[in-house]
Order: sequence, then structure tokens, then C-alpha cells
Amino acid sequence: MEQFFAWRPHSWLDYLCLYLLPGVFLGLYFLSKLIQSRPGEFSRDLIKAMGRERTLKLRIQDTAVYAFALFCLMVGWPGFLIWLPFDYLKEKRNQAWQDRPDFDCAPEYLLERITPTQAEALNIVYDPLRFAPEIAFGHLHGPWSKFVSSIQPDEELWSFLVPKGAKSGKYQFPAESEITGYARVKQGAVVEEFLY
Amino acid sequence: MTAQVSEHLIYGGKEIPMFSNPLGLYLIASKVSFKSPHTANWRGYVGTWEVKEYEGVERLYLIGLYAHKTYDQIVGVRDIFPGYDTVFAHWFSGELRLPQGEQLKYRHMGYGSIYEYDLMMEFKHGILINQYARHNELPEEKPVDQSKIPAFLRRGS
Repeated sequence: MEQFFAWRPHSWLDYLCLYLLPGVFLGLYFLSKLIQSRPGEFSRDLIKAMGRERTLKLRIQDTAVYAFALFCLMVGWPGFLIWLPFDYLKEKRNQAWQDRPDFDCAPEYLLERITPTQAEALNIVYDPLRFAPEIAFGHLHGPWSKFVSSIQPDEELWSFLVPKGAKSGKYQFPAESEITGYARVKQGAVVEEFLY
Repeated sequence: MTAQVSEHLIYGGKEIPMFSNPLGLYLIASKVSFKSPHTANWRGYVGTWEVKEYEGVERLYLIGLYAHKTYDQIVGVRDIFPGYDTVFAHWFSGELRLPQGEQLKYRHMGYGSIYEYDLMMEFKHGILINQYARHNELPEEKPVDQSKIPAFLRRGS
């Protein structure tokens, strides 16, 4: 061990090996990520059943590509080290966007603050054929009650209207028709929505 | 994505296929979901609807449901709406699309197929407020440049 720490580079070959070493570690890191994302046993069986197994030629091609990529990493690892944190941040931003709830109502579509009692009075269901309970929100009375009971003291209840054609939701698709409902709002942000 | 099996609407005594899912909003709000039995039915159910008229007002009702709680277990209207065989769809506001006439183009995706015209019915809280016909034309499609398709993807290769 002492010998290992006492070692110092002398020739240009020693310096070259020292330079290439971080690239080798980086290559191993990417290789481990690649192995983790390999198709599972089920997918492999499926590919096999479809007769889409990888031929020997393809395997040789892949090996050559990986060997070339490893060479690039060994030589150009400082560049990859600069790129890596940017890639990490991009992935984190993507994940944060994926985790965002997909509400139709954006803050600009909020109409007015309303109390649960007012909202209920406005939405008593009436069906002369008696195929809906004559109560607020009819068949959706249960989900509405749950929605109202989840309003926290620091939140407000607002009515909202997304006009037809306006972009709505996480994916910003144009609304096919007018969307109305109620939203739990906390400090101007929509926490939950009840479409009705 | 495979073309999806349509809902059914009974209107004026006629049963018409319907390319809209008015039950969707109810299922989201009440956090009910079904299992897809096959790729042509990702939503896991097929509903039968009827527009009933009473004193000059036409309303939308769910009168039948064939929903997969599991692959084998089928549930109906009564299981989702206890005490009701028919349900007034008061939660539904929006347009129903009812394809009519010849199929002009088949699209292997959702409700993407194009028919001669669509009967559009607009509802507000389950009450019919407007309806109109929308005439469709085949969308212009650029001819495919065969030389740009890789050989292994060409028909007959």
C-alpha cells in the first residue's frame, strides 16, 4: 500500500495512463447505467418469440460502437465532466415536470372566490324523471363532500372556467369544450380541482 | 394505439355509435377505474346512453354499462350507481360526436376514423342545448416518396 502511494509518474506513458484513468471510471459508470436499463427477461423472451433476436453481426457492431465510445470517453473525459451536471439538472427538471399534477384549471382561469354553501346552492341537480338524487352535485355529491372537506384553513375555494379552445392541463392541449368547476387555491396556486 | 370501441347512443329510437366518453369525468371525480380487457378498449367499459325528452327538454342518460372491474368480473350501472338502473348524466358538459354515413378513412387510433359527417350534440350539465352536423372531407395527404422508405420497410420486400 505504501508503495502505491509512494509511486510518482516519471515517463510520458505514466502521465498518459493517469490522464486516461478518470475516463475509464466514467466509462464504467455509463456501462453500469446501460446494464441497468437493459430489457428485462420478459422483454427478451418477447423479442425472441417475435424472431427479432440480435444477430451476430449486430452484436459485433455494438461492441465496436461501445469500444469507440469508451475511447472517446478516455480521451475527452473533461468535456463529459462538464456535460454531466447539465444532463443531471435537465433530467431533474424533466422529472419535476412529470411529477406536477395535471390540472385543467390554471390560475388565469379562476373566476371568483365562493363558499361551499354558495357552490352547493348553485348546483342542485333536478331531473324530472328522478334518475339523479335532488341534492347538490347529484351523483357526485360524495366526491364533492370529500373535496370540500379537504380544504385547509389557509386555502380558498374558487370557481373557474376554461374557455373552449384555451390551452389547458400539463400538456397544454386546447380544451375541446368549455370546462368549468371549482378549485382549492393556496396563495394563488391551484392545489386541487373539482370539474363540474 | 388501436381504434377504440365506441359508446352507443339511442336517439330518436335509433342506436348510433358515439365517439365520446361522457362517463369519463364522473369516473375521474369519483376515482373509479376499470381494467382494459383488450387493446380496442383501453377505458375498460362500454356505455349505452339515451337522450330522453321531457316537457321539451332533452337530457342525457346512461342506461347500460358493461365495465370490466377485473378481466373476468363485469359490472353494470347498478354497481357504479347503487339504487339506479338509469342515471341522469348531469355531470356532463361538452360535445358528443356521433359519426354518420360512410367511413371515409380508417385510422388505427382512438376515435380517429373519419366519416362523411359527424352529428355534434352539445350538452350543459346533461341538458341538450345545441346540435349540428359537421361535414368531413378527406384530409389532403402528401404522396409517399417510396425512395425515402428503407428497403426493409417497403411492402413486398
